[in-house]
Amino acid sequence: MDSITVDIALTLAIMLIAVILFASEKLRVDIIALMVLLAVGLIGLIPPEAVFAGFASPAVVTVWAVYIVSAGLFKTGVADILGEQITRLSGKGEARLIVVIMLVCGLMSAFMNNIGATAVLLPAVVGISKKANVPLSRLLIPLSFASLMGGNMTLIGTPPNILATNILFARDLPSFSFFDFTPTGIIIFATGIIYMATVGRRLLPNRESSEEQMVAQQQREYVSEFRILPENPIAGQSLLESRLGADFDLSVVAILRDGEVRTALHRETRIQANDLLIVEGSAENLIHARRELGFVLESEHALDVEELDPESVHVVEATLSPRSSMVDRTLRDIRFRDRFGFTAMAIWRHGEIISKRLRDVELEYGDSLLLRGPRDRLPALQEAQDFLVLEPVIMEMRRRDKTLLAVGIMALVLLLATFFNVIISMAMVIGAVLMVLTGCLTMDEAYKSIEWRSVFLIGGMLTLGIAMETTGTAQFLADGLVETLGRFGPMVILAGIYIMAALITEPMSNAAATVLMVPIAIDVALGLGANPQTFALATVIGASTSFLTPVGHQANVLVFGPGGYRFFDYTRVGAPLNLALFAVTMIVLPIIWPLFP
Amino acid sequence: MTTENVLVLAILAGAIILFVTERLRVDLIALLVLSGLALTGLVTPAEALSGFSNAAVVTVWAVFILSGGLSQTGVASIIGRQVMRIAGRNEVQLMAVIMLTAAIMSAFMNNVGVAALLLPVVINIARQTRIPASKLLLPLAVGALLGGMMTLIGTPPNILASDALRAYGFEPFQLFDFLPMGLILTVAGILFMILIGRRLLPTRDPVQTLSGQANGTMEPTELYELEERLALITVPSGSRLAGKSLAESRIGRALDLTILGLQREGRKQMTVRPDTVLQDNDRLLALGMIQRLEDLSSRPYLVVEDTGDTVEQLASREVGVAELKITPDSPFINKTISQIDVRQIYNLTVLAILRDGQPRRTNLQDMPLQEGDTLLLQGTQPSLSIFDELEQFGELRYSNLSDRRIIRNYRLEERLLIAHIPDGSPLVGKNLLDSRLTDTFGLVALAIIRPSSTELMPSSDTQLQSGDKILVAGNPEDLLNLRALQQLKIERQLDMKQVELESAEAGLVEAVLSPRTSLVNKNLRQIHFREKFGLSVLAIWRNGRAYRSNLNQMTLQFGDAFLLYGSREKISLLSSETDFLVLQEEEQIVAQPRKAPIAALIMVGVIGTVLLGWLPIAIAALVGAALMVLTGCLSMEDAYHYIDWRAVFLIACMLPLGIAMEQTGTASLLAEGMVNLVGDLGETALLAGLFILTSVLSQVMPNPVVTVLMAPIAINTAGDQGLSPYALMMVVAIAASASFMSPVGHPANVLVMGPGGYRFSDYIRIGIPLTILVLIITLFVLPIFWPLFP
Repeated sequence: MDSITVDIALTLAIMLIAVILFASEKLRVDIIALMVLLAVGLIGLIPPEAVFAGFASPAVVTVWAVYIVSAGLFKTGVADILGEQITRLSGKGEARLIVVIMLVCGLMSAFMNNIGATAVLLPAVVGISKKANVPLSRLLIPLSFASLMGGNMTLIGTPPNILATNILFARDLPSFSFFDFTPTGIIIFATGIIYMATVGRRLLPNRESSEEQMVAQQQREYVSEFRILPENPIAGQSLLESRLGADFDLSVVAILRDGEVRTALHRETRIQANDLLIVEGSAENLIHARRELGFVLESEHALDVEELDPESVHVVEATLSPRSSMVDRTLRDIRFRDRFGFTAMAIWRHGEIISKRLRDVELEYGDSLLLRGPRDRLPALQEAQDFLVLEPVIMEMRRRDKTLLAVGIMALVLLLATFFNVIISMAMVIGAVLMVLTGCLTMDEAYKSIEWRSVFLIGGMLTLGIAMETTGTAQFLADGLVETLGRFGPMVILAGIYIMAALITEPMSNAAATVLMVPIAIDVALGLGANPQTFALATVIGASTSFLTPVGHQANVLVFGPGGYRFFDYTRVGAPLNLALFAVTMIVLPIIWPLFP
Repeated sequence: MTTENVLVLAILAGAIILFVTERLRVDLIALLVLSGLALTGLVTPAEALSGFSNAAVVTVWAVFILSGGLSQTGVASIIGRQVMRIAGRNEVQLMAVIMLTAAIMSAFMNNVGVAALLLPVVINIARQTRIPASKLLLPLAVGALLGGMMTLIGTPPNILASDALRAYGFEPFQLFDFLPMGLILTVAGILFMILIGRRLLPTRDPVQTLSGQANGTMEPTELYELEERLALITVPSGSRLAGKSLAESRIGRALDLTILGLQREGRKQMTVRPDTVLQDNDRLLALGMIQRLEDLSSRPYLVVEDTGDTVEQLASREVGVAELKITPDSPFINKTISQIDVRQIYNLTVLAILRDGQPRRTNLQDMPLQEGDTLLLQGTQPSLSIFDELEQFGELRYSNLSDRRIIRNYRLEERLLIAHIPDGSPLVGKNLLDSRLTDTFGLVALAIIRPSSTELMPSSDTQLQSGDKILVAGNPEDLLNLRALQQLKIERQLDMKQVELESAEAGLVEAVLSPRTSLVNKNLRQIHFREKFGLSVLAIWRNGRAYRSNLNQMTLQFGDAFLLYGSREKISLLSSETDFLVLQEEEQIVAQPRKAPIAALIMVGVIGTVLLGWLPIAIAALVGAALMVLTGCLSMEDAYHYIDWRAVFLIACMLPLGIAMEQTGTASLLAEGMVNLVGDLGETALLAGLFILTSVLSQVMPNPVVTVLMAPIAINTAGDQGLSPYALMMVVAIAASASFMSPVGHPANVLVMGPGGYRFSDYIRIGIPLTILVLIITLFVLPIFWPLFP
């Protein structure tokens, strides 16, 4: 084993700090990656001209180009058409439903980004769950897991595949072509589906979806604020005289008067003009009282006249979209009600329902909101980038006349990449350009579709990857690994690499884990005289298995709220899946990609 | 010339043609150039993508984030306002202060950003001092452009020029290498604007003329136009409209009027909402085609003849209704009525949809159908029977309008009525679509009966004639509404002073599309402007002209200015939108005011470290950007939002063309060509040639692209002639940034176009002498700081 140099020590320190920062989740992953890049650049671990090389790496370019091409497929309705197939193919049985959902989602995410596939299918699955009377909690984890496993099937399915291909290529080693991932990918995907339909299904929880929980809460209690105007009949009356309790079954929780909150109320307490009453009761009774007594509603969940008309009023659930700028902001901050015409009635978070002072709740990714508002403003809410409305999208917003064109462009990209030897990054960029040129999406939509978080994450972390190679850190770690595990044979080392990748991917993102682990895996393979492709593939498969926690992958967080899941639901379903995939990979991988060429 | 030369020149020519025709967006053109270069193999795949890791590109986006931090924390606007406060009221003095402030700020921030930040401030000054906005806004844009020339990070061409030097193995420019020339040019520019430009600037002020606020400066005729379109409409006592909400009354939709306010019992209410309930003797202030309302009330419109049962029985032989229940496999599922195009394709009308036992009568067109929905269809018997054959679409069940069950289930109030069109009716000569019978009165024409023939389910382009009888299905209520609309009293020739559009709750405000807007090429209806923002658009100012009618159908362009009216609350909502820039100083929201000192410190730190030579500019800017995010001056999402990806992609994708030009020898070929042309006339002529070529190109192409393309030519020329590459690159950078000649030369120019009411010619009148001035100064002063012979 080579002795440790200062550069190696510094690189290791940066790696360690990065892993700690990722695990602590205090900072966003992209800003961590930028800091890593700057640390490597400022310390001078790599030549200055290589500091930004990550941003021009074919991997990063492929990642953003895939986002644009995916968006082209979404905007022209290709994804919706696939989503409709779920309804068509799914029969009555739950197992069959799970299989169909997973097949569609997996297939979709093989050619689009994982989170996009999950997000576009989510409303459809919500609809099916209601129709087939299967709890959402039994369908959504299969959905998000399928998107993760489906990504394994092609080069562009998920950033780890793109990265591994690129890292091998950059080191002049035999790399992967578009469908090289497919054999192992299909086997993994099939394993996942079989597991879910048999064992996993029994481990899936039976939970009330967040919407059901919130609606139930609404029926039970509902807090509202009434402003008492001078001309109001109950101004001047005592609580008893007002008969709010007797006639309307409402209880006054507090009175806000002159900026002071009074909670010590009794039946003789007088209601004065300009008081703000905090009243609790069922929604029906509140509306009733409001109509009878002419209250003015003050709260965020104020009900307007038009909202009482069942034809125009609409109750809908929405979650924060993966790239929502709403995170850490309150509804008041963005003037949600003014802007969208919808009022929040409840927020579901980690199994708790928040129904009070909603305007001041700082939203988190994974929250579900129960919203109520005029039906005709629903399209605007669905168009808004910040929210994902869990109701089928009105198809008018899709360019259905360009559907075939978008599919054709995707096919052309595959053709270029597989038969005409165009490198995948260029093929994807050409696909992206064609999507915009033919009007499948506009350039503005293209930029909006790019998830810059991933682009900057990968761009920044690649700098560390380069530093690991140039400073010999990857070699150093690989030597260490071979030294400790070497005597057990190459299979054990392969297993070790897979497990390391699978462990490191939980706190970090898949892409970051791949950037760190693939260089080590390659050096290990070279050290053993084994096939680097086999080891790289084991790493990316391991890095793509983020099944243990909701935070392991954004697709998992997305279904967290709507499914009404708890944290450990993922672990219970995911841990056996992890083991199954590990076993299958270890058996199948060496057959398809021999250890020693 | 080799084949490769030809290929590069072909791509170059193609790109220039695309840039000139403006059919495609510049960043898309750049992506096409990149694809072309990679596919023809003129550059390696790695070189093709190398633009994205180019230090200049990184610097460009890092500076966007730094600028964003300064804007978000209010540093920029604090400086802007403080400086403007001391500017006084004198036009010359104001002009100088505005230009200088813009110049100094844009030396460290991006040019458009500075122009956008200062625009509301300058408009405010114009209001207070009664100086027309057109006298101050172009100087603002010119100041921002000139200021960009003062530092390395001031504008992308400078960064790119410096990076090109580095790529060719020369020392790159330092941060303040640009300062001497930049400062001289800025001072010269300010003097020019004060001495000559001021006289060339037009006297226009869109908002003041449109709203008639200005005292003295307004032109009576222009003011008249707004007055022409304003009227007070009185709801007579006993009108059926009393008790209805504004939306239910259909006044706005039926008559294409915008209701601005309401006078009730002597009190003025300048904020009305669609659900405001009308009362007797309400007086509505309406804006729009008053003529249409007058037509309606002065002339007979539509006369309803018979509402008896006989009509119904008579008609039901020809026209029937049927229910269609959507089956699980129906192809209609998840489609909307308008997508299916029931009227055109099936020749049927959807009267109602029954879902979950609830009938729906409104907004049917956009409702996606679900399994189990039942559509109530109306049409001729043959049309209805088509669904007998198309069984998979749903279960059909015939019925008629007098069926009790149908009436109860769908809460039908529709009756079949016969109406005739009297002589002189405004409907005569219009086709069914233009008659707006369905849109405004909810009447569906089922047949047109003429002595000669009867047309069943007439198509929407059927022309109505005097004496036509129409069989319509409609709610008798709606017809009574029509009568009520006819009885409205109209008052015109209002005294503008009495109207008092401005109040504490509501007001007029001007807004422009922000530089980063994504609404270009959409119209107001598509973006649901009215519903989303609750403001009325009174006029759009474009290319020196005000547009007042059919605004909803106008395709928006960058540079448009809008005159809006609505409640103050809604105005402040609009100003928090990223697509619009509200030109009112008090509406400028500073998100993180407490972080202002931190942001300022970070910026100073970045400049300091670069000045001291501790860090290369790209790294320093990126460290600054990361610190801005880490200290919470702006969020990472905001940071991405502040990056103008269009500029980043444009530059990153065009850089490979520069590489290709160099590697294939095309650059030296072009350099030789230029030397042959003007080289014999001496170095000054060479400089002039370089300047003019760059300047002309920058009128048709974005400035950074021009810099990328001209850099290899300039450096090759320098090599050939033994001249200093620094001097020549400096000329290229200055010429590329001197895009004053047209509004499209730089986004900062377009931004002020609407609010200033400028026309294309205004830019040419100011821009040509200014560009010539810059050329002369460059030719004679530049060699002093950057000797031509090293």
